[in-house]
Amino acid sequence: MHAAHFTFADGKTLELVVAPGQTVLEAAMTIDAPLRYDCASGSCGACVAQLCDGETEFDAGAPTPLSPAECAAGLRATCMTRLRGDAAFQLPYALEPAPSAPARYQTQVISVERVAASVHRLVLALDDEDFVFQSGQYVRLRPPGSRQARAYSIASAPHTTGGEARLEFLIRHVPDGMMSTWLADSAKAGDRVTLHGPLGSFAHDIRAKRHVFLAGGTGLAPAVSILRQLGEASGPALLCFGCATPDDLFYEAELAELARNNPDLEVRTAVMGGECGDRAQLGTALSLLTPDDVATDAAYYLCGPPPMIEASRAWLDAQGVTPTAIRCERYIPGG
Amino acid sequence: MTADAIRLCAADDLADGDMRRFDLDGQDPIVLCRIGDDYLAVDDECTHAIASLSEGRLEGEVIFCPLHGGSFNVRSGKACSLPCKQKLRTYPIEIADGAIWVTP
Repeated sequence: MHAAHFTFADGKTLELVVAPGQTVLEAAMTIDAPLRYDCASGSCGACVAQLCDGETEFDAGAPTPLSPAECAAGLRATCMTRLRGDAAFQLPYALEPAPSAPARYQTQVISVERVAASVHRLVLALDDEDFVFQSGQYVRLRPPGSRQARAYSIASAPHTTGGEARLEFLIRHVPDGMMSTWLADSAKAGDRVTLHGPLGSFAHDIRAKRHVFLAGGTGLAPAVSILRQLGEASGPALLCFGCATPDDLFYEAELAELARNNPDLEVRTAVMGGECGDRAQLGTALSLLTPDDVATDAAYYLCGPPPMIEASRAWLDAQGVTPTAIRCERYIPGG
Repeated sequence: MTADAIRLCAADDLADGDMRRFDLDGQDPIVLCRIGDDYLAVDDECTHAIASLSEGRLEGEVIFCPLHGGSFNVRSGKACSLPCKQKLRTYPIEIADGAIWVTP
């Protein structure tokens, strides 16, 4: 038996007994410990924690959501991690306020609209006070008549009052994708959508003095959720948002409103090609970031497709940013 | 036979080791599994995430979810491996007139 000691972002702690052969997450699930997870099979990254002390084992050839650089920096997917002795981990999210345990809910479509050539905005209503999420989390959605579900980050801020919750999603169009086809062809107000969640451990770093978000396409959703929740309490914040073309740009009014309501927030926008006047610069979310924006007391949030995440991580590394100051939410197209 | 039993299919329609999903009016979908001469029915939707178990695989008495690989025993409904913890609902099956009947 080994002990796994966890420290949450708010300083609260938890100790687990991990039996021989058990993964750290299995030990947590056995006692219904409040650790977040989703797939429990090494692919989603929801259970990732920072190893601070101790030695761990990882089965050769087992799947992992982490890059070699992230592993070298001490990040561990607890679902695939076994202990060689006692170990200490740091979690990226606070214990309190806690999201509700993942469960299945029925929701109703309030609105669906195409906000750019490649993006739909979907708003769902959920009349269940049991559903409580924290900004940065995602859910899995199943449209009516489908057997499959897809994962999407919530773009709205957590509701602060009881009763009906409105959840907003930004959904990228995937040709012939199940969700995309439903949104484009038949989705309408009143449709029933099954939801599983809340899921995921992407969260803002409550210890950071400033926040730098790099968002690619619909990777904007968790960044916006966090910024909406923090509001003026965010401290200095920078959002670098990149899309492929001017036709793919969306949420310009929403981002302008966020910046209006928070004098500490600066929003920069880029497109990779096309003519868009003063709507955006030419480039990527990463190219909007300059060495002057890098600070030792900042947290960096990378939300977008894996190539964007890796390029951003490499650039930040070259600027001397420590891996522990970087948080990632990978967007893998699911249709 | 139970009064509200519903006919699913002919017994011969399902080979040993096979499974099939049925969408019954007003009911959650169920998956019918054949193990030898035994026919067993459980909820088709995994209790962990949203996934159709009939799109996974059946090995002996254990059905594996296609999404995250968790598993259930189709005889008892009990979860056999993580991330599944909550059991599946099981349904009474009767064989009559060469057909399989379920009581939802």
